[in-house]
Amino acid sequence: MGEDQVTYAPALPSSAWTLTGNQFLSKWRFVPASPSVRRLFEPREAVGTAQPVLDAQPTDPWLGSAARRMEEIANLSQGWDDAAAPSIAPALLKAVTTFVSSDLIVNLPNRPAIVPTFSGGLLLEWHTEVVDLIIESAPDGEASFYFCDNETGDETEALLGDRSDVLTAAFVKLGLRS
Amino acid sequence: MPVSPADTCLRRVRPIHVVPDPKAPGGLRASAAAFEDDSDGSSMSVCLRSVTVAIGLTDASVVHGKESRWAVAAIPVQILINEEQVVEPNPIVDPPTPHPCDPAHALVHGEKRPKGRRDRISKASPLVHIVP
Repeated sequence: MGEDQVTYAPALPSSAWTLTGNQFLSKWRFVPASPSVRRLFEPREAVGTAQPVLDAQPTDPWLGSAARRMEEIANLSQGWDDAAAPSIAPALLKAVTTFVSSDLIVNLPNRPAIVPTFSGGLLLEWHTEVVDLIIESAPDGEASFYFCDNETGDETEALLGDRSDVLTAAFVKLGLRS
Repeated sequence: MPVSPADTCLRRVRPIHVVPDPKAPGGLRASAAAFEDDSDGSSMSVCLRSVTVAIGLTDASVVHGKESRWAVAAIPVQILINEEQVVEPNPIVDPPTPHPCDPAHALVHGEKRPKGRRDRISKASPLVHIVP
């Protein structure tokens, strides 16, 4: 992180964290020295009012592909895995759509793959040379993550609100590296 | 008969579970979501490469009849053992819809909920065939 300085909000219970752009970001108190990284984390009005990509005419090509991906996932019907996989709940699709169209994600140079699970959840996966980050939103709304720092070999798996220090480090690395 | 740690499990990967990764050969790999147990409660299905070779098939045979962009991930059995998984040969006999790889079918038993476990399996399992 170089000269970046990070401070954190008081710890919050995991149940306070959800996968929406505004709620995810509003708990952060992150003051990086680098302007490019600062832009990723500065609290802004837009963060709390991110519009679902499905409702917008995206100017960013990735948002367009994300919208098509969400539509593809929304069209998965019960048994889409040729077994018993449930379709993905509309509320979960909406929450993840809002999250991926938030400034936090859109301003990253690396964008996530959006992947349905056989249990009816959704994964957001980032894989770069230095970062493997997976955020999972389960059908019951519980969100968790896995982060592997390929530079150090360190791995962390936790509920979304339990290790904000690690998640901050993951997003900083995603913001700095392509 | 136990499965050799030197053997390889071949896993069908549906197109929606193929994700970009610059670290992977060809820049693509299977999502961690591709290495869950089946949604009907049965263990993860794979084919044993040693058996497919023995009956004259190839890695591509695993996705015989599948549409474009389906893929095959090659999972080293040793990696599965390292991740506390057990591979059990489970040849399919007289199925309603036969598949060339039925004699090579196997099940991978074990806890797969940790994302880290599934990601490590994915990282070690290159896509060896993608249906054109």
